[in-house]
Amino acid sequence: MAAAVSGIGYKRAAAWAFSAPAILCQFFFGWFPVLFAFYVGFQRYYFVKQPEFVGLRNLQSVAADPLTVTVFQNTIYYSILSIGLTFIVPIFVSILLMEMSRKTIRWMMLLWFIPVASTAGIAIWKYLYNPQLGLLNGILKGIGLPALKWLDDPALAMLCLVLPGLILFGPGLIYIAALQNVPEELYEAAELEGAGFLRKVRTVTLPRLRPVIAMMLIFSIIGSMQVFELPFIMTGGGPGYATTTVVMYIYNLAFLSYDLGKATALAIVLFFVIMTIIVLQRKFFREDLDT
Amino acid sequence: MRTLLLLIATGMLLAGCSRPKSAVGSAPGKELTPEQYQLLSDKDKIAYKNVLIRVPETWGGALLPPHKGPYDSTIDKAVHGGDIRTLMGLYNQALFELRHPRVKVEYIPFDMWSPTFPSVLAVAISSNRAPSYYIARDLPATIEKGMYADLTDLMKQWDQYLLQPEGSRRQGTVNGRIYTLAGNELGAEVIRFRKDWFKEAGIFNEYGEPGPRTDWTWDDFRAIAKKLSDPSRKRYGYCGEMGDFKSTGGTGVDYYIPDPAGKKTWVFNQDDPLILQALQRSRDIVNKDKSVNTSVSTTWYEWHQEFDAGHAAMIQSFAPHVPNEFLRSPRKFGEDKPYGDTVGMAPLPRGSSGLSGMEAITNPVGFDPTLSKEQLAAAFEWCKDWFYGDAFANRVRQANADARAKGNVSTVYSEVLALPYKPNEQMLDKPLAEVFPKDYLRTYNIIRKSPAKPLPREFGLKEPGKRDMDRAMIAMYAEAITTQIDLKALLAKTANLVNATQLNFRGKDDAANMQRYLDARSEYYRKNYPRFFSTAWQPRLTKFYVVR
Amino acid sequence: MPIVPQVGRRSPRARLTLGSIAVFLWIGVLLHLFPVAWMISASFKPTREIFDQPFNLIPKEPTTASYGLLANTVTPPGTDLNIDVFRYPLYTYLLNSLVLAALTVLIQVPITAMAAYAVSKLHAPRSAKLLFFFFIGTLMIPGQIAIVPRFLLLSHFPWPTRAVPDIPFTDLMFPSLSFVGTYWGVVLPAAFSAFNFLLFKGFFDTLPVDLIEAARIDGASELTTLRKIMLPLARPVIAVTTYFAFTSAWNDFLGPWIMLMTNQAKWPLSVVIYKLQFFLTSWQPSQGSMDPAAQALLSSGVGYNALMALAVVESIPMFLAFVIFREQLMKGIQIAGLKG
Repeated sequence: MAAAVSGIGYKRAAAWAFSAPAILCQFFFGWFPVLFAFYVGFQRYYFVKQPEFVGLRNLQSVAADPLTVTVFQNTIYYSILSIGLTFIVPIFVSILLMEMSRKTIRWMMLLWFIPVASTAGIAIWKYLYNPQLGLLNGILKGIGLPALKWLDDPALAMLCLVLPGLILFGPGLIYIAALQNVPEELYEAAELEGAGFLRKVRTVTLPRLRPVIAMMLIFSIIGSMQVFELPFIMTGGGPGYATTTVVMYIYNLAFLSYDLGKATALAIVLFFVIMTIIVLQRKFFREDLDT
Repeated sequence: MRTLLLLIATGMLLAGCSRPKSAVGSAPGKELTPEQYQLLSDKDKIAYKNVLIRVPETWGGALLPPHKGPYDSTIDKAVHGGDIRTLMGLYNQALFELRHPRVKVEYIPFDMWSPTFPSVLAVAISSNRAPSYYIARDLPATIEKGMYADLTDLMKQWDQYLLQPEGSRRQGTVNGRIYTLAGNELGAEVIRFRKDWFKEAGIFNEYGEPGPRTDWTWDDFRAIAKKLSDPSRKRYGYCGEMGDFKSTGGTGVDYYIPDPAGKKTWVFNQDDPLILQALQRSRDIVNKDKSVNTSVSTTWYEWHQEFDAGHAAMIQSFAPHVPNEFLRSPRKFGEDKPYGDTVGMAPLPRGSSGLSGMEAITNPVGFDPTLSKEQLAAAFEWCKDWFYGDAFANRVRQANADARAKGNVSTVYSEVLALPYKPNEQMLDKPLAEVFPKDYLRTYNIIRKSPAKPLPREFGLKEPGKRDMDRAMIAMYAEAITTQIDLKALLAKTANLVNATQLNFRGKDDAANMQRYLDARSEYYRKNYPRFFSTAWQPRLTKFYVVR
Repeated sequence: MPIVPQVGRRSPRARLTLGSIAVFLWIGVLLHLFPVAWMISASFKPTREIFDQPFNLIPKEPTTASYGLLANTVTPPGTDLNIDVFRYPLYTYLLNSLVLAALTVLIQVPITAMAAYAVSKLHAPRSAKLLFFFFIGTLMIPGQIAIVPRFLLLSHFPWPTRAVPDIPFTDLMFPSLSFVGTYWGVVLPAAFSAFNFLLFKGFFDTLPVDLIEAARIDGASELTTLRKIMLPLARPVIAVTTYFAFTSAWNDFLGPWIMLMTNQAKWPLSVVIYKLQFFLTSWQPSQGSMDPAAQALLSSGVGYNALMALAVVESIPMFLAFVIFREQLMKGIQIAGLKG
């Protein structure tokens, strides 16, 4: 009994010792700037002069801004599109890859998850979408369909931003790594019960991947709610405001309008929105194996 | 952990109390003349120099090569490697320091040109690491944010103050205080066009050269663009960003006008038929005439490449780029097509009542507001010297000598052509007229002479951020072009947005200030554009500009 | 592990399943190869060919001019074409990138792995939950607003203020450390990665607790358990996180750009690439002047080809890293495969 208690105490000590360096780093470089930013959210911030306390005025100006609604709508639309269309692709590709022979996996993995510098990726997609010279319109014309305006069409623009995600992704590797821990006995047991391929995926593979999928889902939500670079470089937020996302608007406020206070207030709002989604997601999509 | 937190909390509290430190402690002593200074011992010389200014390397400085390589020193490398430009930079530095014995000039790398500049500058000034002066973008919002030192007294003492172009003086003045100095690159948006195609199509200007007339209008522009576009050869009459449409026909139109209700300073100019007309025209040019190529996904640089690739007859460009390119790549379009015979430069088209929308601007220079008085004065002197004075002349001489040695034409000619101040052609090998095609010189002449309209900021009125307003207007034009939305509804939508976000303020003496401002505008039009004044401005003034 | 059992792979049904999977995967491979092929082909094209229609994968007049530009052969210092990014030879930037990426990986992966292990398996449920949000909470704040405070903090650590405060009642300043212009200013903020934390935690969560319990009963210390039991099992995920740490350090430009701006000798390649790419891919204010370097490049007709050449150079180390870490991943597959 005594040994067990000290064992727990020892475990706790080890737990804190293992987390200490990360806690320190996260405190200084993760939270500190964020706390500072929260403080700025209640100031009129000047880069040179002393900031003035303005209370909730920044939040009020965010609330009164019609663009706030627009950018949140855009961002949520983007998130739904991107998670809906691209989230499951790497999961299934990884599962399917595991069926190939070892030699084929080696090559396929390289070719599927080949790293393309983002500079190149963006340039290529801009070329594909180009209304006059682009390949996609070339193909459409070739098969006798009317050309589309792609990024220049406010209704299509957001979809066009999401599509590259279908083939430019890296998270497949994560699933490959996780799939290696699925014990083969489970498949054998399912086989004995006469389960087919899809049923085995459903009853064995996916449940085993659940923690990793849950983690990746959190990350996808956060990532897509904060999408910035893609619309920033591909469309500059246009046409109109059709692809202006929350973080892009934050960036514009902070560094193009020099209104760090309002930018931060908007970031705080975004923080709470994402937080709510994550808490809900963790409630409905539990990551532990046993549930 | 807790102690650490406490420590930081105390630190933050203390920081509030600690006095701001100037970068240099100043020890008052008697002022030495350059001659007396030179007699000091090395140690005393170092101690005597206590006014430090930091000069951004890309805009006034020159850094020695980073490695000495096989040479004895980096200076050796510059001398024997033919790096005269850097040596001239050092010479200018030494000369300036001798003239101002207290001042020490330090060249630092600082990038002012990439899109991250605003964040880089924000970071640099908040941590006392900024150069002493930098390019002043986003006026007047950045002035209101206190990002530049007040230069009024220094400017008033300067005999050349009035030599700066009017537009550049106006853009940096807020409520009578001056915050910026005109730097380099006087210019305006101009139309760059293919002379050979104009010739082919038989379009000549009033001087009998291929190209548009210098007083052409947007209607002429539309007709020419249509005539020059040729789908079979993949040619458009014009290509460019959606933002370019802001100027098509918007000439003389204010996107925001005094709030007739008197609640705010401004409201969006929703009912003006001229804006409706401009939107309709942009829509038609792209979708009906199909003579203009535009897209949200193509950037400024890419459009210029399209132009260079021979896919468009005209493009909007910033004026200094054309002469610069002319000098730099004379054979860009092929051996048999000299640049000057292929690419022309014309002023922007005018509105139908003769009003020119061309605004001459320069790169404004702002100074770090945390500088001490001595530092500010020294940095100001440095800028005058570098942009206009001896240092500039030295650079021109060096570039000329360089080019002579290499047997080519130096690009410094385009710098002289775009000098905001009166160029002194004596320092050049050849007069500008022998170097540049006539249309370049003529367009520059027009730019130089173009009057600048009064700005609200000069009269104590707050203006919306230019970038924000531009972004909203680009979005409006993009929507007009890319969708079938009813234009009146689009205007209402834009008004709703702009009024709530960018025009959501009211100052104290707005009514009086507004009246003064409008009077100045009227005077400006009456003097410079009498036809516009009587046919367009006066009727609209009474209809849309109600001061409350 | 493969779902279709090894023994029954020759049955017609299994063959059909495997065959259709293979077809699907090969189509995907072709889709992936297209951008790569485009990138490589464009890097060898002269500027006027880039937008040729119909599009051709093999350049009509192949040229290495883009690579020449990168290799600093066309811009001797001191000419009018004074492009400051080429002040140092390309290998300096490459070396800096490697040093930065290596430092980041060496520091970030162990710190993050230990924290994830502790949260997943060691902490009491309450503190685990709290720490979980402590670790990933910052992901929910867009990094753009933290640029200024983070720089202030790093420029005189640990004082996040405009200047270092004085010690009360004296004229002395508190001690402080400046990371500006050093590698540490870039590496320290990346010493912990919330993303890799999520990965590690997701992975450790899939491991059964029994393994640890068994080790504890055998009298192994926590460190030994982590080292001897967990880490070998974690080999694939370590490979993946290392790869991600490497690529993110390799591609990051804003951090190095702001921290190292005044010290060009330490710039990584990403900063140079960014400086060259921005005028091609970003929105310039249409009014006003541009970077003299961009102007020079525009006049000399540099375009997508140079950008793609840069992208090729940028991609090569990532590609190599991928191959190396793939081997680690494959080892995991082989070990597990032997077991089954």
